[in-house]
Amino acid sequence: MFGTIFRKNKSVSNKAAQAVQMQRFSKDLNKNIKYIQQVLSKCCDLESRPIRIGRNRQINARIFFIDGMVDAAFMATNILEPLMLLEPGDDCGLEIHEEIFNSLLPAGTVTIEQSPNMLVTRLLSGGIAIVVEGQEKAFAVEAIGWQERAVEESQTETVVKGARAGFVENIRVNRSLIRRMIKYPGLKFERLTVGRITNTEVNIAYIEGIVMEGLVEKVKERIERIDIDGTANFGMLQEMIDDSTFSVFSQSYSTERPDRACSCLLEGRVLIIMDNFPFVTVVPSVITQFFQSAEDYSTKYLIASFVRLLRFIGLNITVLLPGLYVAIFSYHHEMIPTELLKSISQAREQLPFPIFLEMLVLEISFEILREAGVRLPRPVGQAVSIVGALVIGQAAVAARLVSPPSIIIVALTAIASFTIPIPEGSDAHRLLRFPVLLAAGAFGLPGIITAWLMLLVHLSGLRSFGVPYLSPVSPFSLSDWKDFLIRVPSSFMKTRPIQTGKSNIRRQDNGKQGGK
Amino acid sequence: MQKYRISGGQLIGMMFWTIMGTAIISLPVLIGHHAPRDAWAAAVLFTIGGIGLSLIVGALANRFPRRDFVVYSQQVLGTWMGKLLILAFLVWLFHTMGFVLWQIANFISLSLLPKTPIVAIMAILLLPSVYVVFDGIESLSRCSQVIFLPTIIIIYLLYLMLIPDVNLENLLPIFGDGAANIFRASITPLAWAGEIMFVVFLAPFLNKAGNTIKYPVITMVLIGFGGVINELFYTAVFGLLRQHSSNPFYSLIRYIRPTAFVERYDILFVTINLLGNFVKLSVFLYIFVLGLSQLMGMKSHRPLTLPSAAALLLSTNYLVNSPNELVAFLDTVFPLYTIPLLYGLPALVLLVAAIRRIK
Repeated sequence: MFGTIFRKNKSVSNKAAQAVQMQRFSKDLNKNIKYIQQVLSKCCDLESRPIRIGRNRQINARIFFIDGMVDAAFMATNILEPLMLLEPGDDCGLEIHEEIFNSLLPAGTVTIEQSPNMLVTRLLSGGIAIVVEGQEKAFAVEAIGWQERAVEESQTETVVKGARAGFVENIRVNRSLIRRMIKYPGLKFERLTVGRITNTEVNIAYIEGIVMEGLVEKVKERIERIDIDGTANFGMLQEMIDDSTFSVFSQSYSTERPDRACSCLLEGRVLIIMDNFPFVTVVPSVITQFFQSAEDYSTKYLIASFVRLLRFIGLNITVLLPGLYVAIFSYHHEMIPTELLKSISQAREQLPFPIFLEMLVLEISFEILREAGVRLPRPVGQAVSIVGALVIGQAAVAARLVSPPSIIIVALTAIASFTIPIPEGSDAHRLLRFPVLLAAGAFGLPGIITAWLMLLVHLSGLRSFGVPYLSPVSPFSLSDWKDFLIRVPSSFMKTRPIQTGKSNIRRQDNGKQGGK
Repeated sequence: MQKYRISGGQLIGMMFWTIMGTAIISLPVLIGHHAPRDAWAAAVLFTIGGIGLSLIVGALANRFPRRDFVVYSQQVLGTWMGKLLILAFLVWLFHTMGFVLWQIANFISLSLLPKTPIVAIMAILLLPSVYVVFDGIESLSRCSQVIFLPTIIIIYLLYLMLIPDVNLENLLPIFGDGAANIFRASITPLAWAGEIMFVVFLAPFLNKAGNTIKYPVITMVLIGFGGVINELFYTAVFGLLRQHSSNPFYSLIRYIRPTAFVERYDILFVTINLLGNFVKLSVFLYIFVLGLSQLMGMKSHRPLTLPSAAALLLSTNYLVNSPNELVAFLDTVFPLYTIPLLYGLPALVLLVAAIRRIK
């Protein structure tokens, strides 16, 4: 339905490049040079340098590169120096381009391109292009030398004890971070390209023999189906490959941590890595991931289990507590002990607004504060949070606009929402508390239960790449509970999750573990 | 037909609350009228009847694996006879669904939301059911599975808290109400147990065809066990006074002594009741919509979901007037046509199929 509306103007892209089409290189060097310059006209970052190579320096050649994207020192020593100083031997009798390829380009990645357009693509992704007179092909030497962020500690998923490295924008570094952890030939990276204009590289990573059956094909098919001019944000692509786009829950989740990505690979999942995006997306994702954090595996199992239960409580507080508070104090006073009721009623005396309105306003103001705190520059953000939360909150209570118990509930809800370790989960649940609040305001406890049931029904029908979102709760599989609300000791985690790891279920053999 | 598959455990989860959902509210009242002391015996009879029907239903499902009841019953009984009986069943389903909905809404209205119009309460009760039925059997079975265990655990925890109030002498003398009264008390529960025949509609969705018998039997044993415990506790705590309670389970929960933090536990009861009856309403609505769509030869049940729910909501006003009337109706008229229909229909189909050797 929406597809047909949005699919109208299909081929806006590539018009500039298609103006003068040239399928193959010609023998005429000037023609080739002219073509490249024409395609990249008005690109002031295009640099070119004519050189003469070969015996007696008779052959004209031209080097192209994009300023700032290539490593200048590398270019000087590995391309310019040999080409300009060395002479090919006279007795080899090989074509000059083979001669160059074999002995004059001491670089790791050299490709011979037949098509000028491919050469331009190489050029634009940090390559050095060498066009030689009389040859219907050209060389592209990879010499990436742009500035980039070093591998730093992950910002979104911090741990006290555990690996620090986080993914960066460069897809090759990200690949290497994963490869470093899994030294196994079965670990595959498949290259796809997304975006008609951006030509963004997207990789699919999986471990052969472990990955869920049919998953790789499904992921590939969904990514190849994407027809977009370009995006720099994987969030958009994530929405395009999700099973149900309209759900509040994201059916794939992103991680910034290589160790977490690797453990997902070992569970039979697939990683989607996008260039220029420092997060790796994991599919399929199920409800267990709301409770798992990388930290859990480096602390003792009892502590990890305790923390997981805390997260479960935190999740329920986030969604239900504001609603329950409103329901109990506007409909069901008799539910709570008299003393508690008395103290809260006293606090609410002479307040102008009904409790539902009070909570709604407070929750929305909290969201505003949070958003402002996140978007503003960090020092200012902190100031805003302090002014907003402390000063306004204090003043609102003093001015008898809101009651202290309501502030406590809102603050508790807010803090609880941050116990969910993945941002996707935390955001979804923070949003969900509003429908629950509305239902509670309208129908009290039955309203909350109805809202909860609607959520349950929604989750029951949800799938992520064919895997039921609610597993292992339903379809029930006891063996997967070992890494869900509790974490059992590592020596008991003998099997992979049943939904994704079916094709190779055992992780450990039955041998004895530990010191016994 | 949608080719979704449900597991045996999910089927048990669905059927458990389908029967237990209102059984836990209505049956103790009716049983208490006739045999307050030996109520547990009526629960045993209820279980035996249910297991008997389970065997028939299981045999039927094994005889026609992966096939829809609506379709093969017409094949067995003849098109017109089959259609007529299925139609009668659907009418029964619609009517029962109507007063079940009214009953839950009435309970919510009395206990929690006295000022809210009952139609609004019924609407919010139906809303999740409509959603899940629209989504299909897969979602329904998963929801039931999620709800099944926690609710049962909470119920038994509540019973544990009641142990200080139990007075076993209330149960004596055993069989003091007389056999006639016990049998009279078990008539309406037997009608309730007849709902286990819904399994014939759900069996085609099972992921393992064949050997369907065990699932309804396990369900009935679980329900029967719960029912016996229920009845024992009502009588042991209230004695003969239970005759005067219009909702014994609710009274029982309110009887739990307040602890330091929670003044009253009825919030838990209301929650369980709503969750359980969500399953009940959803299964009823699903089978109604499924049966109707198959009867009319439709490919999908979905288009019928919303109209059926709307019709249900509008008709409840004309179905029931007052709780007392409903109790009297359930005690006398309801079993008279329910037992022949729910027990008779699968038994008839099985019998005729056996005679005509249709497989």
